[in-house]
Amino acid sequence: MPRLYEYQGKELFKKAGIEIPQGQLVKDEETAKKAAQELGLPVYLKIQILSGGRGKRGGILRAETPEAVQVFSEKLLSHPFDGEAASSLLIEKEIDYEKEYYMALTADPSLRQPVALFSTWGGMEVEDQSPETFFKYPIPILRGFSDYQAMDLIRMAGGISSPLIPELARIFVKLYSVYRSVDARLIEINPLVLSKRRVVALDARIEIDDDAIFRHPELHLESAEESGSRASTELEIAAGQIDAHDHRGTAHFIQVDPDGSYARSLGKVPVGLNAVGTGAALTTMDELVPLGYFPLNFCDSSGNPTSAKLYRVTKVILSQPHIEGFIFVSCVSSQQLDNTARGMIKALLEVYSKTEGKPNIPMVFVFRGAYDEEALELFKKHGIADSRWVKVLGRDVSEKEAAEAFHQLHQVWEKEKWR
Amino acid sequence: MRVYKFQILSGGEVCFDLSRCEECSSKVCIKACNRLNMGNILTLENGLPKLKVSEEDAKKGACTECLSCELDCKLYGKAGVRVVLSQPELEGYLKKLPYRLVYQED
Repeated sequence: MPRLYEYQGKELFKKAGIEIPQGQLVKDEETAKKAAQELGLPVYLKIQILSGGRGKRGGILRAETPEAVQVFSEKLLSHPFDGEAASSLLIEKEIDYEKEYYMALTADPSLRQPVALFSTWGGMEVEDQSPETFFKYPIPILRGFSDYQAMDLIRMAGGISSPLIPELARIFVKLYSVYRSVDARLIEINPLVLSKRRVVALDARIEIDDDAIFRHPELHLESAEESGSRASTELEIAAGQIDAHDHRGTAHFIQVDPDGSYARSLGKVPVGLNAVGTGAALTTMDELVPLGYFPLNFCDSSGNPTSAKLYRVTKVILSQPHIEGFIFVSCVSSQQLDNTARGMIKALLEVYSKTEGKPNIPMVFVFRGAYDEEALELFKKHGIADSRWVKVLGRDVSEKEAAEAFHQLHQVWEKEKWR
Repeated sequence: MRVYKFQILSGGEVCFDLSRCEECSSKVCIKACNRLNMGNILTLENGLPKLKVSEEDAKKGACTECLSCELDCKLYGKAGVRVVLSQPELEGYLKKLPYRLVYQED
């Protein structure tokens, strides 16, 4: 799910009238020092990366002197932080506060509604709090979220003085307006602090609904499928564009092991994978791993996508580094598999133009479902089924047998490779 | 080269090399497009392929992007149809790679 940087979230908060600390976004040590001087020491230097838990991992540092600002900014900007390169820091003036709260809105798929969440236990240890400390209110999306509903929720948490309740409620309603305006799946302020009778958002976490990215060019999101806490890779971004302008079927691609290093560390052979149906993809992955292979990606191209989508996603999968094979497995679906086949055939004819589509690595294609016989026929007609390193299989093959067929092919291929 | 082309929904173009189409006796692209479950958007006009829907409709999704016209033409025609499906993000990524991909190896 595409996530905004903290500074982007705070810009949205500021526009909505939610108070944030005074701060400046900087890209190098010199401007960091200048910003700290202008804001007044002490300041916090906050690394701008997409993964969470920055405070616990040393990504948020407090500086009391210009020298400390220099050292810390260099430290945070010059090296990858837990493998994630940062290009900017948010420098914020320190705020004294008396109390931390947690305030969030999220989409609850089981309720099919937005849900407001509130707790009087905000801060870095929020994940360790018991669920009973969080109070929630499902929001009827057509009616929206009003002050009095927010006040009811805040009152449930208990222990909050009466004058503060309407103030927190007003912030909650503003937060809901941001949540709706950017089509967020999650919007979170942790901590929301009480500082000298003012309520200030010290952090901002906003995750946008993948399917709504096209509606928000102003957010400059380059994201693709949900990539967990890391930023999307370039290939994932490229794959994300496949569905961007065309609603016909989907091509969900995500890199499990972008550079293949994890597969190698396990002594596994890196391969590319595509499937029709998530179940077929996961089952095939499970069958491949015990045989010594590790799919570098997950991909589900289902919902009856166009051949053009299959063409594009096949090129993306084959563009992963150092793969030693490719497996395609369809579940028994109503998808028009001849279209699926055409997309993959065009991709093979193009990337292996010198050999008329015949690949130089083992590839197994399993077609099961509507128009599967036509799909098999197309591979034959285009001469790809006759390739030395290709096996095209039909509906009588299970995921296990598909993985075994790939294994047999790969063993022969590997012997030849080193000959 | 005389080219007839139209745009398609996903971003790309279907291009016909009309000099090859003139030499083609099979006109297989028309047959392929008008098969059951295909787009049914091409017709022959003066012996050459042409849209029978508006260019606007083709771009809105009347072309189902099945690629039959290109692939069947390659098999049974004169290889005169090309569906150009751009992927600028992928192309940008490939240009920057410091190593060769598996399909770029000999």
